[in-house]
Amino acid sequence: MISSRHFLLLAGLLALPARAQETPAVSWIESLHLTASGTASWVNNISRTSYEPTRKDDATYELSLGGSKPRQLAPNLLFVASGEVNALWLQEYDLADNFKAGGKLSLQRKFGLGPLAPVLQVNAGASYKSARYEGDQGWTTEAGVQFAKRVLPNLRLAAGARWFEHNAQSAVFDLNQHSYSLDATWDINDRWSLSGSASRLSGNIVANAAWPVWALAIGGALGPVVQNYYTSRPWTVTHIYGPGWVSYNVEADVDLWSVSLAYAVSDRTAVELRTGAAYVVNAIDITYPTDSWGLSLTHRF
Amino acid sequence: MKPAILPLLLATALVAPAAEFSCAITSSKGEPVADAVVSLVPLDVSAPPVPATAQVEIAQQGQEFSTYVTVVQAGTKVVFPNHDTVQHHVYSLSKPKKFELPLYNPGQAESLVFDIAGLVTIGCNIHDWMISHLVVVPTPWFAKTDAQGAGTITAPAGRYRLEIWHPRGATIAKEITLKDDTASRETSVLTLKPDRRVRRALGAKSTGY
Repeated sequence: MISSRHFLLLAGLLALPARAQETPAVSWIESLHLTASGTASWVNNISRTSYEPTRKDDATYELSLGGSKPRQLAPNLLFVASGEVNALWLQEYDLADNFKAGGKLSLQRKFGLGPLAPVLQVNAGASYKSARYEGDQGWTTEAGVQFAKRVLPNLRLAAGARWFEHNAQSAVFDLNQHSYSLDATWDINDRWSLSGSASRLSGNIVANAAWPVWALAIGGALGPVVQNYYTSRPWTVTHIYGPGWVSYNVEADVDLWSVSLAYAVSDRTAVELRTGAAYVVNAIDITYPTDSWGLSLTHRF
Repeated sequence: MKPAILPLLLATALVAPAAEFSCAITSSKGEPVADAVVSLVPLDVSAPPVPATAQVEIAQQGQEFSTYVTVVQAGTKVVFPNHDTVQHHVYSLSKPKKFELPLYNPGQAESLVFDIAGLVTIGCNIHDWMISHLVVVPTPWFAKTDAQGAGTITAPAGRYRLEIWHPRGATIAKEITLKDDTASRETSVLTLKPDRRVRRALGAKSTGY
């Protein structure tokens, strides 16, 4: 398992051939980039429930405001500090609403000159999640590495890895995940672009069940494997998706994919239509498929 | 007699016969082509040298270069002022002039002399979508077409090699002759390739690679 020490080493290797140079002061606020985005989505099986008749679907609304400040440390070495606040609302199941605020630091090394030169990026960030359901509140830390290259001026490919840890007030909502992804972005023309992503995530996830189903599971009615596993994992009654509903923590592998089509309304505003799906399989081969459609608007100030 | 004739002869020699050359460039779809470079390279005499004070500016502002196509005579100094609020890393890998201006801060203004004729494609290594074409020609007689696809050059009478270049089209070259006090006109059709420039994206892309 790669630790934070490995990231520090990798960041050091990226910076080795370059050295920071003194540069004249630049107005801090002038070089700050601000973006705002709003997303409306429909998520099937937002409750991440295995038993199909009880699955819950809902509409979600998300608002984000982000700022970033780039700094060229040396030729081909770019440092970016960014911060973001994000609010998520569910239309019906508002106990799942949450608000996050955090920051991220990234270091990008470009190997060569020109748009086709490959880029290696490492990043690390921390954020605080304030959730309607108190048990889900807590600090999240994450780190990532990505290798990207334009194979054509209008086709960019990227491969990445990410580590994610959420330390919640309740162990049910503790998450420890790592994922690997492949992304492709094709600029069809100066207005339209098509992106696709495929990834595999492994680690803890939070799933939910209606009480009658959960009672059967922990009572042994669904077999000893289910009973032994679910009684060994953290769980609690949260009522997030209905009266008596239970949230429980499991180890799982998740296959995710998404496709999005974006249209540049102007050089500062874009609209994006996105569809995605996640196929979750937990440690005892119980599945929780989810899929979603979303429409978002992003503006760069 | 002689002292009276001499100034007249000198004045006559200094005022060379001039001819006006105009061109109209369209695409194969019949649309006017802007930013096409038209140059007249003299075939019978050497082109006059560029004045020592000749200077052209290609600025960076709004994370773009100020001009997409610039034409200069070989030997001209080109200044690259950073009028932006962010750093840039201006570079070119083109054979006539390879250079790098890394860690280029707002307010800085570096300059370079481009003394070899040819095409110099300039980019920014931080903002991949930034691109500018600097066409260095061996003649003072050149023009860049406007939005109507029109360009006009006033040059002495004589034989020239007419060259027409566009970032998305093949170069056209042919011999023409300009006559005294006579307006010449050339109409050319360029077959343009699709515009495959790196697109400027929103969000994180605007901050770097």
